Amino acid sequence: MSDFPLPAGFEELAGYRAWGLRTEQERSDRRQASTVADIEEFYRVMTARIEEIFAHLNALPLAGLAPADENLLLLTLSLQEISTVVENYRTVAVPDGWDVRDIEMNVVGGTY
Amino acid sequence: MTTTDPSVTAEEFARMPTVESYLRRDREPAPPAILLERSTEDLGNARIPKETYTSREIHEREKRLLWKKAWLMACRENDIPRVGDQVPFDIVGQSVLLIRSEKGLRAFHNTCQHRGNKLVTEPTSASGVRCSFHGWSWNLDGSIRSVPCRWDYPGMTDQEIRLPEVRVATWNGFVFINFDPDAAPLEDFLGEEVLRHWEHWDRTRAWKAAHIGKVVPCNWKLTLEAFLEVYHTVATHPEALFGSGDCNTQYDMYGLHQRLITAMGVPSPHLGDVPAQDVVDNLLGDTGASSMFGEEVELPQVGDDGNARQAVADFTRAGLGARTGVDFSGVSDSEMVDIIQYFVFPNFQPWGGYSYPMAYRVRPNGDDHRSSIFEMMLLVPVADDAELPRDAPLRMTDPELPWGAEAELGGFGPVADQDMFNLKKIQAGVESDGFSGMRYSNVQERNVRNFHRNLARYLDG
Repeated sequence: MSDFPLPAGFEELAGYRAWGLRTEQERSDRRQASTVADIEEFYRVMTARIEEIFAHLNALPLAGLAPADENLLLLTLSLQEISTVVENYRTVAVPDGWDVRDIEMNVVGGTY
Repeated sequence: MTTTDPSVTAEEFARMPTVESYLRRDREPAPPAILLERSTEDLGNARIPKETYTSREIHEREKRLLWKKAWLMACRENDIPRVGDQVPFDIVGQSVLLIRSEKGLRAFHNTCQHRGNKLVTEPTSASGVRCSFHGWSWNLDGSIRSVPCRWDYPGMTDQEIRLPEVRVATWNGFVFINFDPDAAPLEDFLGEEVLRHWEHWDRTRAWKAAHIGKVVPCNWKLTLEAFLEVYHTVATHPEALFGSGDCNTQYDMYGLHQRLITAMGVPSPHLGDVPAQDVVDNLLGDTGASSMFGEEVELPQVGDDGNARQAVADFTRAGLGARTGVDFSGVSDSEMVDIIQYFVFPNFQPWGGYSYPMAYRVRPNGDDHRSSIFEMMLLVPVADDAELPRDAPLRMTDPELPWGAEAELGGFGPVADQDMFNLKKIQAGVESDGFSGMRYSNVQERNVRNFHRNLARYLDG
């Protein structure tokens, strides 16, 4: 059993387990510590399968996800985290944006 | 960056590629020399007071000294192509009726000489003008045609009940009016540069395929100024950065009038290197190509030379050529790709070239100084041997609905919605006690400064 289980058919994404992060703070930190090449590769791989991923996750209730399904969700949340900068800027941070490394992010309600 | 050294601005700006540098690297046919003609000056860093946008007194001065003195784009010749065609143009409490008469274009105050009823409220076509109230009617040349029970007006002459005339003149397919009988001719108002530059782009052979207007809840100058600079791209239109030289836009001033040229098919200086194919996909994907062609199209591939501008130019040249039957083979890449936006003082923005064949008009909403009307027109080129379809009339649409809901505008609608997102909030912000005046930037917003310099010339008499 992998320490980063994924639903059947999505096992190839295990190579990106480093993006399986539980909090917005961790995802933001990782984005800004990455290289453009890294986030573009992750973006390409994830967007190529995004319709299948949505189809899989949308069929499941958010509460009580199995570990494999939750891991897939976490990767998808990381895709969301990086997609704006990949699509608009080709940088790891928003030009002239806030330096969010100094912002403490607190989850209010919800899980992720 | 925090700096108090003014030279830093100049150094930063000097490090960016200029529009001219892009144009000089373009292949044949070379861009017209007028695009390389620079005319700019440093207008300083003074602030513009907030009252400019909030004061009723300033609005009243604008009514008296600007709108009643300047030449104003009222409609297109092709809005009223046939004898009898009529269209009203309303501006700050005045209404002008544009008519195609047997003897050419005429403009009249759009008001009945009997009891002041407004005569024409929407585009129409008729052999004359008839008031809906008591039936007074006029010929297309403004002379009185009939007064019911004329016997009841002993001594009234035909001359005194003519429709009062307003000056009218045309330029490049656009019809201008002027309330001031002493104003200099339209050609003098437009000036040598605007007339000469626009010899390159014939808009008499263009069809206004769409003309959409909406009320925007802010002073007309706030609406206008959102389209006089490209500084806002990085925050308002970030999706466009891959394919547009935003902060190195070229700003030129020609007396009352001005222009900006944004090199397209090149990455923003805000970004690092962007692969040429990504530039092309960004510029033409999603909304870009569909704006032009209104349908799904296959995006072009960048050639071995890696030149995104050429790929986009070839694509637009072929696509627009196929759709319109116009031969663009002699037109430069710049005119097929770049944003070449002219501003004709005080409120008209025709875009040059063929890349974005549009025009904007901004005016106060009626007599209200806290709301305005913004209009977008699409001007599709028409082949010389083709029949020119009648222009689409202005259609005012629900301000609560997005511009993106107007299918005729294609991809331009969603971009306008990004601008409207700001303009729906700005009046309240400007009126806040916490705001004391505009801080226009030195280079990228200097054309806004030029507009205010010229506005002041009018308002100060």
